[in-house]
Amino acid sequence: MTAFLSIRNLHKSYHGNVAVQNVSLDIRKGEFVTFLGPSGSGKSTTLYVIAGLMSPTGGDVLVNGRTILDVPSNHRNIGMVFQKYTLFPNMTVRENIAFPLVVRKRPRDEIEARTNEMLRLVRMEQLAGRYPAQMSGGQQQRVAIARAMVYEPEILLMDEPLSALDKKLREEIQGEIKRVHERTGVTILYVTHDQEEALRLSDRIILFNTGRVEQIGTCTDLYTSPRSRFAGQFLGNSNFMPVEIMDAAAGTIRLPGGACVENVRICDSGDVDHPLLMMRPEDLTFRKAGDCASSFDGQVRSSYFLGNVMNYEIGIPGDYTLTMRVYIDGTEHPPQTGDRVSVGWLPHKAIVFR
Amino acid sequence: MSIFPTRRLRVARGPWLESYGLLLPGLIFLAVFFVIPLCLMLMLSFTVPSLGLEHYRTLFFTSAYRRIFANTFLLATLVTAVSLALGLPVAWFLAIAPRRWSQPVQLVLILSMWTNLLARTYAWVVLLQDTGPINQTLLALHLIAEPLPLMNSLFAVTVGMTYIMLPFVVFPLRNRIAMLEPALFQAATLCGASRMTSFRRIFLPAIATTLGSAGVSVFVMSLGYYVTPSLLGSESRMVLAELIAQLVQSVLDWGLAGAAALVLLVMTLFLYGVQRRLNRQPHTTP
Ligand SMILES: Nc1ncnc2c1ncn2[C@@H]1O[C@H](COP(=O)(O)OP(=O)(O)OP(=O)(O)O)[C@@H](O)[C@H]1O
Ligand SMILES: [Mg+2]
Repeated sequence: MTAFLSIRNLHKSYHGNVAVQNVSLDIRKGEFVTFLGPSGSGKSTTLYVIAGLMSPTGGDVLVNGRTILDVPSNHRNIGMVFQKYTLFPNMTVRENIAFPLVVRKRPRDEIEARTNEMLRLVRMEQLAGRYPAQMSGGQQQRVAIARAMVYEPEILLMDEPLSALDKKLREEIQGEIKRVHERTGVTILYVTHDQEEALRLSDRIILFNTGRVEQIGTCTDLYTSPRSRFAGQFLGNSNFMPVEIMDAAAGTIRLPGGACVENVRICDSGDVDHPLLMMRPEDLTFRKAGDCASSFDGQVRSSYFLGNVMNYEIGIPGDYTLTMRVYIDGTEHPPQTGDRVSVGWLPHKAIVFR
Repeated sequence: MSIFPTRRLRVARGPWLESYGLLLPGLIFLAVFFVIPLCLMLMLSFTVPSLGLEHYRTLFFTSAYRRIFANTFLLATLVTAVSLALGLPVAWFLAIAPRRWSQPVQLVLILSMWTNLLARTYAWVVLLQDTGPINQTLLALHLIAEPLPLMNSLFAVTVGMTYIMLPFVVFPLRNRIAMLEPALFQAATLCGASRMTSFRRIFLPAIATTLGSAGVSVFVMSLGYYVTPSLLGSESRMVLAELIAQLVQSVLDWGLAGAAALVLLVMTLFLYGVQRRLNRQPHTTP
C-alpha cells in the first residue's frame, strides 16, 4: 500500500542554518500523527513546508504519490490551525467559518449548511455572531478548527494550537479535537512539545531532535522501546547511570558500585559515548535491604505527592540521584525524607544504550 | 490611584482637584490664548457691522465665495486621495522591509518633516518654475517646445501639499501594518484566498480605521491650509484660508472672515465626529 502523505528526504536551511535535515515520513489516510520534540527541533518548519507556506531547500512532499511542491498553498486543500490566534478580527464567528467557502464561490445555501454543521461540530452555535475580540482563547481556537475544516481538506495541520491555553481548557479541547478526528476521519498532523498531549491524542508519534526524526512509533512503542537516549529521556523523565557492558549477548552489565546484573536489554543508539543504563521512575520499587543484586541502597532526599503517586528523589552512593514514582495505596507507611531505603529495579524493563 | 496609564487612564471618581488637577495648567493656557480669542473672532461674524446672519448669507449665496468652497473641497479631496494612494505603499514598505532598506526612507521622511515649511514649499517653486530643472530637462530633451505651466496651478498645490501631508499618512499606517499578525495572512492563504482576496478581505479591513483617521486628518488639515496654496496656487483657484487671510489683511472685513472661519471649524468638527463614529465598531473593542 502506498502512503497517503509522504515526505522524502526533506531539507530546509535558513541562510546556511539547518532547520530540518533528511526527514522522511509516510502517513496513512485518516491517521492522527503528532510531531513531538524540543523547541527548535524543526517541527513547525516541516509543517510549514507541507502547508506550502515555506519552500524546502531539498526533498519532496507527495500526496497520493504526486508531488505538491508546485501547488501554491491556497490551492493545496490543506487546513491549518496556528499557535497564534488567527481569526479574522473584522468578521464574526460565522463569517470566519464561512470564509473558505466564500473564497471558493460555493453556492449560498451550501455555505449556510456547511457553516452551521461546523458550528455544531465545535459547539459554537451560541456564539456565531460574536467577533473574535469578544471570545476567550479556547473559543477562538475552536472556531479556528472549524474554519480549517469547513472546506473538507484532506489534511489538517495543527501547530501547537493549545499551547496558549490553561491545562483544563487544553484537555477539554484535546477531547474536542479527538472527537472531530473520529467523526470526520481527516488526516491530522499535530505539533506539540507536550508529551502528555502527544500520548493522549495520537495514533503515532514522530519524535524530532535537532532537525532530524529521532524515532517513529505508536505511543507505547516510543515509551517502552526508546531507541536512543534522547527518546528515553524526552518521554518520561528517566534515570540514567553509566555502566559497563560485560556480555552483550546475555545482557550482563556491571553497575558503578561493582555489582553485576543479567538480562538487561542492550540497544545500539548512537547518541552516547559510554554505555548508559536507563530506568523508568515507575519501574523502581522499595525493597528490603540486600534483597538482590538489582537494588540500590540510598537515602530519601525529597518527596512530593502527586495525587495518587509519590515522587521520590533518592540519593545513592556515587553521588547519583534516582527519581522514582510509587503508587500509594494507603496501607503502608511511605518512607519519609531522610529515611534509609533500598530501591529495587527490574533488569528486563531497563535498557542500556550503547 | 496610579498616575500612570495602566490600560487606559481612567479618571477616578475622587475629589475634583485630585483627578483633573493635572489638566489645569494646560486647560488655562488653551482657554486664555486659544478658546477665548477664537470665540471673540467667531462672535464678530454675528455682530459686525450689525447683528444678524448677513455674513453667512453672503458666503453661501455669492457665486465667487461658493467657488472658493468648491476649490477648497476639491483641493482637500485631491490631496487626501493622492496622499493615501502614495502613502499606503510607502507605509507597507517601511513595515515589512529589512531595516537597512526602511531606515533611509524613514530618515528622509523625518528630515523633511523637520525642515522649515516655507523652505519646503519654495523648493517646489524652484522645481516647478519655467526655468526649473523639470522644464529645462524636458526642453533639453526636445520633449516639449514651450515650458509647461507647472507653477500656480492645481497640480502644483496638490503636489506641494501631498508632500507635506505624506508623513501623517505614512507613520500611523506603518505602525498599524507592523502590528498585523503575519499568521493572519498565512491562515487566509490556507483558507484558499489569493493575494488579491487577502488584500481586500483581510488587509484593508484591518487597516481601515487607521486609513480612515489618517484620511480625515489630512482632509481637515488641507481644508485650512494656507502657505502652500498661496505660494504655489493661482489667484483663480483661491481657497478658504486664503480668503480669510485676504479678508483680515486687505479688506479688513473681520465679520465675514469670522463667518468663514466658523464654517471651516464646523466642517472640521463634523468630520471628526464622523470619524469617531466609524471607529466605534464591535470588532475594534479590545
Ligand atoms: N525564519 C527563520 N530564520 C532563521 N532560522 C529559523 C527561522 N525559523 C526557524 N528557524 C530555525 O530553525 C530551527 C527549527 O525551527 P522550528 O520553528 O521548526 O522549530 P520547532 O520544532 O517548531 O520549535 P518550537 O517547539 O519552539 O516551535 C530552529 O533552530 C530555528 O531557530
Ligand atoms: Mg514551532
